[in-house]
Amino acid sequence: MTWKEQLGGRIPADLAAEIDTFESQIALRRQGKIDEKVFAETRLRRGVYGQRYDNGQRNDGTGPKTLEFPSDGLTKGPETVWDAPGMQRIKIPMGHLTPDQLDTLAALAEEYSDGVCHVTTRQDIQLHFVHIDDTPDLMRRLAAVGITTREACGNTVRNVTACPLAGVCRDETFDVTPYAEACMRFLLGHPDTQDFGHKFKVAFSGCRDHACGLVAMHDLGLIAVTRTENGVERRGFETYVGGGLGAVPYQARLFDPFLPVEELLPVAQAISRVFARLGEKRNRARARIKFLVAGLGIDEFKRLVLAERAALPDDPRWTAHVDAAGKPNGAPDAPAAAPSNGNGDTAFGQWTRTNVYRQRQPGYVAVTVALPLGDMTADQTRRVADLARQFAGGDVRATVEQNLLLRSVREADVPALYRALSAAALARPGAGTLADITACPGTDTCKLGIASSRGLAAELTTRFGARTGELDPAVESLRIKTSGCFNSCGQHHVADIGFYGVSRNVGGYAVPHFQVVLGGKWRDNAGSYGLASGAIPSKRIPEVIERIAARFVAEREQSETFQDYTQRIGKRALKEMFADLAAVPPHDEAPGFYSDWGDPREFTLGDMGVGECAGEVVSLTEFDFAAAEAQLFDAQLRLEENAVEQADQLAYGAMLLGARGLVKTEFIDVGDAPEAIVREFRTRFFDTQLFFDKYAGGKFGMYLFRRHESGPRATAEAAHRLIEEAQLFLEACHACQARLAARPAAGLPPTSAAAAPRA
Amino acid sequence: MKGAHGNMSTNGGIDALQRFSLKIYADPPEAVAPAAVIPVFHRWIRVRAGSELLIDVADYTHLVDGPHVLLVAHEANYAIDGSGGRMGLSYTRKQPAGGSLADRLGGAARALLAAGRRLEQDPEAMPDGRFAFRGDEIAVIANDRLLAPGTAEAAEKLRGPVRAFGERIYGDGLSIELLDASDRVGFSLKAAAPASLDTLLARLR
Repeated sequence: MTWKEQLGGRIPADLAAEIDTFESQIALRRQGKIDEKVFAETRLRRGVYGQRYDNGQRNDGTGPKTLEFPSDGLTKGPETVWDAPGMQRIKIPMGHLTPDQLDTLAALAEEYSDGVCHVTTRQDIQLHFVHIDDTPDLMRRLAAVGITTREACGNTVRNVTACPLAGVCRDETFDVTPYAEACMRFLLGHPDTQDFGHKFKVAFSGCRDHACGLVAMHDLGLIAVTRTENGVERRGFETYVGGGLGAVPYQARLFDPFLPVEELLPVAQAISRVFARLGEKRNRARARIKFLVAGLGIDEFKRLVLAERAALPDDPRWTAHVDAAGKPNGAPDAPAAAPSNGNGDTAFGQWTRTNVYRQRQPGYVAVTVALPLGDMTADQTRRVADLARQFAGGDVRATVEQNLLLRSVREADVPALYRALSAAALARPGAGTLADITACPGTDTCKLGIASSRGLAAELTTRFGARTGELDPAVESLRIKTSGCFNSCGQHHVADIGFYGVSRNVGGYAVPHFQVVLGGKWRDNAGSYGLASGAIPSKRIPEVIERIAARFVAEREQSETFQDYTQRIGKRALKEMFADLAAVPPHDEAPGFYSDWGDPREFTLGDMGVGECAGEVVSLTEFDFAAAEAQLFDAQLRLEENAVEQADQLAYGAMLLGARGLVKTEFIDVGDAPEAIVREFRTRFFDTQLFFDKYAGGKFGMYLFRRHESGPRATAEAAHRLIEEAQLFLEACHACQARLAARPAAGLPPTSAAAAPRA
Repeated sequence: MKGAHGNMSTNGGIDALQRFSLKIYADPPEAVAPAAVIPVFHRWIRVRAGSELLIDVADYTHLVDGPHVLLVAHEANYAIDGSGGRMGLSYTRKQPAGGSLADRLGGAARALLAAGRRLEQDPEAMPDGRFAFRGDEIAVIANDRLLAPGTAEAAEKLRGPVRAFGERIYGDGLSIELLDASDRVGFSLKAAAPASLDTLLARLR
């Protein structure tokens, strides 16, 4: 019995087929039949990500050492050793988790990972130290509870995020959940989102003023708004494009103050097309859509998108979600019993003050389970699932602050829930306060990490967590966010006090530092970004916070915000405030400065690797070719099992994929229909003789035409022959692509509007 | 076709079990300071302690009742582990090993006990007072919900091989109890008399 057999009936057919294909691609990569770059992007698109030291090198504190993995030269990407453990990112759209999903995540963490589930800053769950050979079964078990890892990494539409309070928020314009879900479903695997030069992030927010969706820092951000027309209230989205953090943060630009909900999906599709067509693909540092929008200007970008939108063929999915959006979302309507006043417990009161949010539904609250560094053990994950069933109607959301939210809890049940959470060490107070620190993985597991963002966050959590309730309220409400490098996965730009890891050379030694970023704005959907105010040695960062917090309390004018305060006193004063902290004592006097938080090794940058955030730029053609190879491989397996009909169908499908890959070099909208693929292939490559082999002429193309016209082959012998023909056909496709690549560049593929087949 | 890993759960019978977790318990538990073990595990990587490929250390000291500090190896994860409210050292096998299930359990136990002995002898690991690992109790969990789901039937199938393993280290004084292991099969093996890790290691040679 295998997981595939065990779960067969519980996995949607399309997901099952995708995972089978991925498993075949793993087998093919083992045989050297898939290029490592293509395989890298293939696995990334399924959330199978690299991890620190996966190049087989690690500095043990005395120098770089080779980790002798038994991989025998096999790689799963450039400089990525096959047997090196990696990270599995698991997309959780809108952070919405069910108890059954939590139970499964706990089991997977125990069996394939290190027993810990990690909540990310984009509402994903990540498992670390996973072996790639385990990933197909891991994916099957997720698929059986309705989770796909597809497009969790790579140059794709990443997890669609949304305000975790959507549907229960007191201030939202309307519940964005059904629209976010429709957007996620529509864009997932959509042909128009497969040829990006970089990742693409989408976020939804129910209101303009609070943080929640962090719309302004997203590639596509949507804020719920309404408009009354002829006495009828209409729903729409204030729509932003081109935001993003990273090394160079950009605020998103207003694309449309009111995009009707009916236009959400077609415009998202049109934006995807423009990004795929015009976005940078060679220079990875400028490949995000923010650079395209900035380069073109928002007006020209919008013009291009609207032109693309006008040319799109109608799709019934565009509006199918609109009717469903008005239906009940599962949140309770009827008032609950009288609220409890608590049990007089100080700790309970403290926790209630920071972790309990009164919902718009009378008598109900949303309870934040504050997770240190976004981590929870497998046992805790299962406990949350149990408590969600018992107290929250099964409604759990992961948050971008790396916590979990139990929604629609009766106020009367809050004391009992608190006791149960306490028993599982899950009742940490201080959610959304100075002690609730966000951190990316940093040097713990990330290949790009420079300094230990988690180590710093752990230290700060310990220091400030112990003082919850004692801090001045103006300080307590500040947000701290840490990133291990400038790429800002910890979202340091939108924190009141942010940090990102850098290195400085002192007396010939590398010393871990953090650049201090002050005055970012978490509210107003990440309304503004903070500015760097100088690099401070890592071990002195706690003093930075103590000092600026004290100064803020002492110098604050009336109800001045932290952003206003830092702006008022100015950058020069801020730099002077920390000037003495920037000094690093000599190595022999204070060696602790020369190692990072939680890591006794002498600090080095030597462990940094090549990041996979951007994935590999792999053309649609290469993807189709890789899928064709996998399908042909499956055909051989089916033939071995005497499943002749399936073998025949798979071999034919492999030829269609190969042909489609070639067609896409000229016409990306060719679609999946065999008739269209064959027609376009014939017109564009066969009749023009572009496909012809120097010696064999059009012979290999005829293999496709014959099978297409004659239909299935009923005998094992015929299926065997077709597999042989398909192999030759695919070889000819590769050769044709190589010949095309050697020609002078002919420009970008045309838009759908201009994509008439060549005569 | 699958890699070695992918085949770990395909044979159906309990004898095919490759993923399991073993744990021994610290005495006194409060003497264990997980953060103190971090530099020790880093040193083990540097000196290549044991026979496995040691890769990295993961710091989870901020977690309660879970893995606090992990030593990640290619073959297995070692952890200073407080799960179940009991502080100890665990060994979770990840890669397939040869031999019978009894051989594999024995091999895993040898790796765990040897690591325990190294910690017991390491003063850097014990800033909060001396601790040792109890040799009279060991937990065995089948970490594979496909081959050994937490059912009575699976428990019955696994009981024999686990008992054989237990008798090898504890002899006739063995007592064996079923553990609550979250949809997995787990057993607690206990000896009638105290035993040191060295003694157990000698019995496994």
